[in-house]
Amino acid sequence: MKTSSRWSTNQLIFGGCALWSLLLISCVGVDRIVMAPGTGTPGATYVGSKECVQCHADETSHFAGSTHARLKLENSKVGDTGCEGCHGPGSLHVQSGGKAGTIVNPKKSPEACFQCHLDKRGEFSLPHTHPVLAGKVTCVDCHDVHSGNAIRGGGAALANQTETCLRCHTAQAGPFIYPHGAIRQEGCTACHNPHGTVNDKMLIARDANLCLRCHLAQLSPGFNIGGYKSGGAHANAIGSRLSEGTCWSAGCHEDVHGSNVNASIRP
Amino acid sequence: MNITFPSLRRSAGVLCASAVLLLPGIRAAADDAPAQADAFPTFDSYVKLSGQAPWTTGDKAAYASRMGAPVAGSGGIEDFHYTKDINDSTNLLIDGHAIGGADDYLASLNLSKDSLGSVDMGYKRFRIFYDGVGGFFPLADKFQSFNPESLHVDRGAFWTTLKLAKGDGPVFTLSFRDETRTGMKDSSEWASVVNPLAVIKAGAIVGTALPANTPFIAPNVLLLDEHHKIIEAGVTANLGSTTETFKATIDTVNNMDSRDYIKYPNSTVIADPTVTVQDDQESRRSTSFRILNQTETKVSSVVGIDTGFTYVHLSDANGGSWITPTYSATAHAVYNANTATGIYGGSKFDDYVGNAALKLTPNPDWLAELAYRQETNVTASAGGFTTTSLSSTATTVTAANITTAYDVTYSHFVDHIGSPEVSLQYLGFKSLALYASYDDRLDRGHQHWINPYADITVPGTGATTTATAPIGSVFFQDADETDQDAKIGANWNACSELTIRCEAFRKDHQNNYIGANDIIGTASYGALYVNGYTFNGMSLSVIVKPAPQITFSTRYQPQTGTMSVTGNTVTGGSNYEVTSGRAKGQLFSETVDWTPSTRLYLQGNLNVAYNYIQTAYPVVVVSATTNIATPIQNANNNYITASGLCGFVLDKSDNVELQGFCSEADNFNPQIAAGGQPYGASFLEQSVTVGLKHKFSDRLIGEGKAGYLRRTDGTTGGFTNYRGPLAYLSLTYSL
Repeated sequence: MKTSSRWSTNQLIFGGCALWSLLLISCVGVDRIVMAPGTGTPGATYVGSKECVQCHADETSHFAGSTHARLKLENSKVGDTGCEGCHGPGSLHVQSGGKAGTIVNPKKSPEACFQCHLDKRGEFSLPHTHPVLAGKVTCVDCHDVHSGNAIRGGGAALANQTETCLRCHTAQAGPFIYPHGAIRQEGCTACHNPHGTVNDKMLIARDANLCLRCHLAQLSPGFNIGGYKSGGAHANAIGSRLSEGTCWSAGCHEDVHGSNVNASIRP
Repeated sequence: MNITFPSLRRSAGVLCASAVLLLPGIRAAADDAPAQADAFPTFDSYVKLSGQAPWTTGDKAAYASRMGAPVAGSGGIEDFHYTKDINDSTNLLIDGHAIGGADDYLASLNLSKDSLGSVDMGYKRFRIFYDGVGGFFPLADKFQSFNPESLHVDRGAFWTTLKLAKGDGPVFTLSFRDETRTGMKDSSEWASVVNPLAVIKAGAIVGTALPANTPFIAPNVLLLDEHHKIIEAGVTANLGSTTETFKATIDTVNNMDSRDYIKYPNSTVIADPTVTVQDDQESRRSTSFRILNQTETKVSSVVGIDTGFTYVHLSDANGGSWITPTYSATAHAVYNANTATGIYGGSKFDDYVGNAALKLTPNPDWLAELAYRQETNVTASAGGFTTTSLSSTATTVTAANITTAYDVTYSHFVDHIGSPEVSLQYLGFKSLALYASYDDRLDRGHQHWINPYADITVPGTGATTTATAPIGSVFFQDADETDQDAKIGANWNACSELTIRCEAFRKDHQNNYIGANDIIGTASYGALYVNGYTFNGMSLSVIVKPAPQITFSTRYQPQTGTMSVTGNTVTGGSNYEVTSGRAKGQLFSETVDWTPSTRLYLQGNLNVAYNYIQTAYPVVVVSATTNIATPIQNANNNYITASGLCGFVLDKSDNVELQGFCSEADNFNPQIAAGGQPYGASFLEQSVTVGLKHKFSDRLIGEGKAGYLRRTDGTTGGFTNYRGPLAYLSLTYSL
């Protein structure tokens, strides 16, 4: 009889079901709860935000007006559970007097944030991102999750949003003698997505499209970049600057954050 | 005994049914239990030792860059946590880790005493890995990397904070922080574009005939040496119904960064550094002084008023050089033209910001906030540099053939920025939160700069020529920037099984720059430049819980945008605003959490992104008669990431966790190589791991993981692929 080395459908069905069943039944004799990371502390129950205020007044004092307060998590037994919406049930944390490991701490792991911000899990999984999944940068390094709109600065806040980035990236802070207008107007996110992209340096585009959004045409036709005009450094023929690489490569507009020697942010 | 497949199916069905029937009993038993008898312990104080090792084949630098760990492995103290109550009111907390190989270190100490204050100090350093990949060009099948390809940057920080908080009195803080960034990282500023088969002979590039005009990407790296110190003193006090905060900060930056790149990576003159390596160096030293004052006053249960003020004075000194080797067409030698050396100069920046917010809560259901921010800043900068050039008729590089020019630079920017903001929140409907906000940023500024010009020129003959700024290099313009952002949203907990959150937004940013017309002859006379964008989008989240054990979380985020600039005769006529770009993005995310029993969880995640930016394409026409790829096509940034996680209790002492991950982008278009650079990213990443957590005793827990990962990278032509197994082991011991 000739036998096939491949798994048959029936074998797969039986094997899978048997494995699944054994898995479930094997747990019967064990009194231990497991939970997916970031979803809560095994065995804990909700206690309500009023318990949190006792020790965490700094975090709770401005929470009412914050974006995350709008999630409006009410529990019929303990009332408002706004804090536990992100930190998970807090009974074990309260009982232990604040012991480490008894509550979800987004400062240690982004998993709690990913419960709602599903897209950020994907972006932080991309090749070019801040090392959040590696634990070297956390969400709260850039976000004030307990007050305002969770994005530091902007609007009528005292600080502007760019300050968040420049706290670490001091070389890009300037002021430069010839600043790049994009940073003055829109800040770092004009060109970068700090959560991660498929492009090097978290750029939202890795080619000249990044620049051409604002610089498709200049005042002088002689500096036309994307139009039909031929000739000149920026013309569109093969062998022109546009075909050779990005605008900021090869000795051209390299000083993308601002220059001290050239108004066109060239070196 | 004959076993038929139908009987197997029946057996499987019976077994499954039994397991499912048992589940409610299992859950009920767990829910009723006051505590978990077999729960893994949580430790007050512990030390965790761990090590990990990959056995991958392929590109080591790419592995380290992607995985954040060296291919040689790493190990040491992964986590040390010690806490001790010294007495009834004093607590000591020590944290640390030291992982060799990964160069990841932390040592911190916190000593706090109730009703007195605390001392916090520590040092940390961690390494971020990079690969010095220059890129890949498919027509020539050429890949180039920097040597060494494995790069890294170390980020360190030392800090100490003293806090004095006696009773209900003011809280005083004094802190010092010293941060460093040192090392080498790759840059996206890739070097010259040249046929990889080219060589340099007698100062000229030859051998570019095949394939014609083949572009090439050469690696470029940044060398960082950055230091940042921050001293801050502050006090917070409650004065009646007002909370007052005052801070004074001194911030110093001392950076010396430089850039190296291989200009002609496959040429025969690599040994000559003046040709093959271009060195740019830039130093920046700045000192800023900042004061901040904020008040929060609760006037009544209905009205609250917040105010704030900051003043920043920054002085900044620049230095360095930008060197670009160039080649004289007639010289029989390579001449290293110093594009800009001896850079000097600096800036002074004064920034005044004040804001005020009126918070109204007429009843618990309403929250309204009206706020206004006013900023005035002045940036005044000046400096200069030296350039040299070789006579175009020179055949030798001698002093007599070189002209030296001393260039000057200047700029002056003034911004008056008003930012009104209004936000509204209504919680009056049961299980429904409604909110909306609008803010505007109105910048009415004045900008004046002078393009660099040679004020003193000294040719090789020794004669000196001085000149004032040519009128065509002088710019005056008024900035008129209006940035409007608005959003409206709702969070609705319809029932315990359904939650819906929806938010729509619009960003409309329009900037006009109008050349001052009172200085006739300047380059900006009468000129108008428009630049702006409008984006509309939304975010829709739906959380469905058909049963307490299962949750479906879905998020969908579409957005579209257009960008515009002032056109010219080619793109739509002078002084007309034309569309310069369009962007469209759609992002779909799904997470499924399923806990069929308290001993088992499953989680699946999926993210699908579709995103493109279109600017010049299809405006750019390379040839009307031949089918040649355009030098630039749309920037596509599409990708998919998916992951799965399963954890379960194996027995009283063991937990198992299985993980799988897959990520893919397919935006690489080699067709464009005939006309431009194929920058689109393309990769496929897959990994699976199985982990076992074992309780040896109530004081010792072990964890082991084994996995296999694979990455293929089309962007680099497969030259940075890697694959192989990896393992991780740890032991956590309670102190």
